[in-house]
Amino acid sequence: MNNTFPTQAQVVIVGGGVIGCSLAYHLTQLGMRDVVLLERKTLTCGTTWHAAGLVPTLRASYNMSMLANYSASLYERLEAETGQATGFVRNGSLTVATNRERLAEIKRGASMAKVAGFPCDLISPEQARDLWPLLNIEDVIGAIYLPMDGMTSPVDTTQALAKGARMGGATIIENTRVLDIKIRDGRAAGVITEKGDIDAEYVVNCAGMWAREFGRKAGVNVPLQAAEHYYVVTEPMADLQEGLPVLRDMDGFNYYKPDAGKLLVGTFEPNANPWGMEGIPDSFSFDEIPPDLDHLEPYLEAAMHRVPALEQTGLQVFFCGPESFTPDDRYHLGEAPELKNYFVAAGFNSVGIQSAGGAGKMLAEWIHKGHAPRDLWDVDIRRNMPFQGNKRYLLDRTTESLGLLYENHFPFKQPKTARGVRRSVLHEQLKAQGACFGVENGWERANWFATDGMKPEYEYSFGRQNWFECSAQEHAAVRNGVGVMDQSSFSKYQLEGADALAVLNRICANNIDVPVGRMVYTQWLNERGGIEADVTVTRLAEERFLVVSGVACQIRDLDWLRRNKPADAQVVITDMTSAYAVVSVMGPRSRETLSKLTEADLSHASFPFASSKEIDLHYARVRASRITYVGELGWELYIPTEYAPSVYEAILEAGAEFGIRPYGYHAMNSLRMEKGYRHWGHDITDEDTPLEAGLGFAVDFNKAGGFIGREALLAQKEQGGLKKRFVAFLFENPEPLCYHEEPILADGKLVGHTTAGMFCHTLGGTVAMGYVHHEEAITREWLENTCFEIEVECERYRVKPSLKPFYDPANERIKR
Amino acid sequence: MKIIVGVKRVLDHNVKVRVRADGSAVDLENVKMAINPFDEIAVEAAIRLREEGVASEVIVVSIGPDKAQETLRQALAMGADRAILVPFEGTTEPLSVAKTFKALAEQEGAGLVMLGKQAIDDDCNQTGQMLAALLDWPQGTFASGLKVSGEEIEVVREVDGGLETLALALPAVVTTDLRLNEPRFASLPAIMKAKKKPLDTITAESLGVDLAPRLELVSVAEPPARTAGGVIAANAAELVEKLKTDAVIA
Repeated sequence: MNNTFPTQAQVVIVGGGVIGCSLAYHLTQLGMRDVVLLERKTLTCGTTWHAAGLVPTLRASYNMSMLANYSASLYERLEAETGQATGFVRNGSLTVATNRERLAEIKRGASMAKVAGFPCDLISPEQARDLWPLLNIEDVIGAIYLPMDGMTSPVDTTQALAKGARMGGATIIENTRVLDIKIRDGRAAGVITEKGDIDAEYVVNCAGMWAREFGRKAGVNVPLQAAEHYYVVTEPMADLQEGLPVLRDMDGFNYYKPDAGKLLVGTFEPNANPWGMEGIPDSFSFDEIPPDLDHLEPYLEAAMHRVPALEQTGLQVFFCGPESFTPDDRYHLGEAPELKNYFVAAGFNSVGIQSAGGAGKMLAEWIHKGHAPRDLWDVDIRRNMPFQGNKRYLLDRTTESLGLLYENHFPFKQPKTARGVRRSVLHEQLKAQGACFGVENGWERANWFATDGMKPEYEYSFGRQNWFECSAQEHAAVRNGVGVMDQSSFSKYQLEGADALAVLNRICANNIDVPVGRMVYTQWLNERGGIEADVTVTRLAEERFLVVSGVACQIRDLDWLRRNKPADAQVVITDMTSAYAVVSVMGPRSRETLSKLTEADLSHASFPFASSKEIDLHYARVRASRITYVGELGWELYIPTEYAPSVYEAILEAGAEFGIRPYGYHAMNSLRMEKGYRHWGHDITDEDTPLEAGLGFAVDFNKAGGFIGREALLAQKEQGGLKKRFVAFLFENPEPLCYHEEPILADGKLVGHTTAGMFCHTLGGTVAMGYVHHEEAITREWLENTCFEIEVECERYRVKPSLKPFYDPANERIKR
Repeated sequence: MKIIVGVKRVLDHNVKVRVRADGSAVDLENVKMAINPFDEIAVEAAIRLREEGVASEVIVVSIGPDKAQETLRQALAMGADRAILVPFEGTTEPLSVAKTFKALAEQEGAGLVMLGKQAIDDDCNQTGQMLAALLDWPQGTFASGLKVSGEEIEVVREVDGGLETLALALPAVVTTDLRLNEPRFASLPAIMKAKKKPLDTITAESLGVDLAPRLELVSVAEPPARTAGGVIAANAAELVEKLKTDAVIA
């Protein structure tokens, strides 16, 4: 045995929990054998060791479900591969619903399971009791059963992954604290440990609940906070049958895992306790937190109601241990935008065991290939803003994060805690107008406006929510008159310098070498032709450009710009997000409204579509850009922030005679959906090309210098006959509402899933969009001659397909 | 007959013990605590005697901080009838604890006092013996079997040569050993019911006992870390040689 401490490795993984070991295993599987994993104490001793070990396959989205499904298949085969038993069994899982909305949620889950390709049966309460005889079904109205779900032993599974990694050539070193990170030339270059330094090409932070503090050593933001997670274990129960599935009663906030004749009852309560506010002790190792019985009591009462046999059963273990939670209940994966070659996999929100297999595989491929192997935006570390690493923010949000696991995942659901972080300068004005705010990347944004007598508060449902009519009126105002919207949360960047044009034109698929004052809609592509960003570029001056992107991509897009800027290029990239408020004035009466406030000529001839000018407006000087995301005549006004409130007032006053209304993001969404506009992150992602997405019109293959992704895209174009295409669908029945991940069926066969859906008021029905896959080229003829259905809550509905927008396909409303 | 049972709040036996950095004591900050396991056995034995109809009431007593109320509630959840807390912050010592129990046994008119044979934090194994002497009652220590018949209690003890059975006249003091019984786990309804059972606070002062420590704790140290094992000899002959040279065998 070689006992010398290594001095270099290709990859150093910091943290020996299930995630770190899974990553080490998968790196060696890819042939990256020069891997060193460093663990502070003993493998699994932080959080992994006390995990319940559930391995369900159904997650909130298709991609996440595929990863969880992979974890299950990995744990199943790992023993044969490594000789180390994992304890994995596919005992299935049963989830019960006790109210209509929960039933709707689990039915939607069952429909999504079809998309992911694993069985999920909607069953009656009586069938549920047949599967789980101790279950009290007096208030159960339905259930789903997933026979392929499983459970595993977290410690054994981690040991099996570690063994597999060692067999593949990795070195695992315990009892070694990593003190700091080595950084060279703006890249991670190794670690400093208490036993010596290790130089490395890549460093990966898999430090679990220490990951935030450890990230800070390298200036990397990893927003997470530990919180208490509780479970109890009963004494052996004579009546507990063998081979029972895992039971979930999310309305009671509990899960029930059969455990060698005993029952483990775990709780995801809506009022969690954060833990380790003063920092997680360095010495923490297989430690427990003293449990607070009073905190747990209401949930244990719910458990006795669901499983009455618990009333006569002694509770052998009261367990409380810390687990890591993130602000949005999704984990952090990928290369840190702050530091090249520094990767993160942490913050697993109590679902680390089921996630570890898939996450480890994805991150290993990410490191190996140099890019995300598929669309992982849900969990991408680049979605985080710096403020989300703020401790106070995390503490307040974490009280809610844990319970979110089992709360009903309603569409449009907003967090309740740590709100109001980022507010537009128009916030108070919007509030006075009755705005109900939603939060996106910290920004408070008006989603809808309450009409007289209504409270601006959500009443959630999977059906039409309380704001449906409000939003319909906002929608109508934009279509028929004029609407005004605060879009200050847009991400905005300025590129300036002698090389600004060359650098940006190489990044953009469309040609941005346009006259000053012109705007260009374009995508940024990766080498595979996948869409990394969806932006508008305005040429402000010969050597100065404004890039505008969605709210969620503020860090990601900036990172993309910086990564693709040659080191010696003469260009300064500045994040201008906070510098400008954005007010959109949209609708057929927008020209008349704005003309009352400016002497500038807003006629179509002198201010055509996709042009942008600085104009006087009311008392201010603003940039007016004629562009739209709602499919009407209109202008986006870029206003230096402090001028925005007075401009906004003036617009409302000027528009009063045309019935101007403020409109929110829900109305914007229904407007853009019927116009077929794509939304990056949902409809278009890094695994979809502009050709597949129907955005070929925004690609300039012939521009000088080419662009990133051109070769891949050209190959796809030359091959022709796309077998994957983005299609919009209109429901014939006006009742069903769909949101995303619903199955799309062609002549009864699954051909894809929706990426977005929204009730569209002008059309009088829901529009859904999504990619359709077919063995042959997808043509208009095929679409027209095929019977399409979309499944919502386990029922199929006829839908009409279209490659073109349903609303104003000829753009007559915009260009006039 | 009333039975008084002592329950001491100690570090949970599953928890890894850490010594404070200054070596002054074991670190109890934010650590899971529990009933001393030997006391838990005593509680179980007392409850069984009440269930058999031999005892009329089981009173659990703890000397310790406010938090010891949790420990008493655990005993109440198992089935004890009421609890007494004698508040004290600091290290308790066998003699002053024995004096406290003497005062309470007399005050309550108890027919039997049951204690764990020792506490797993200080391993003293003295309190029961001292209490018997102070009360001038017979004692049965390390009980692994119990039977009350009339005015007599039969105590089975594990001794080196086998089992020893004693018959004690009541009132008596019994200390319990590991194999006496397997304590029950409280069910949730029992835990909730325990919250409503009486828990009185009686100060040591009112009992005429001074709990202040008389022993000085000089320092607490962790046992030396175990060093890794390894192969020391290739064959038996080499091993014997090595054992000789390392002076393990002569």
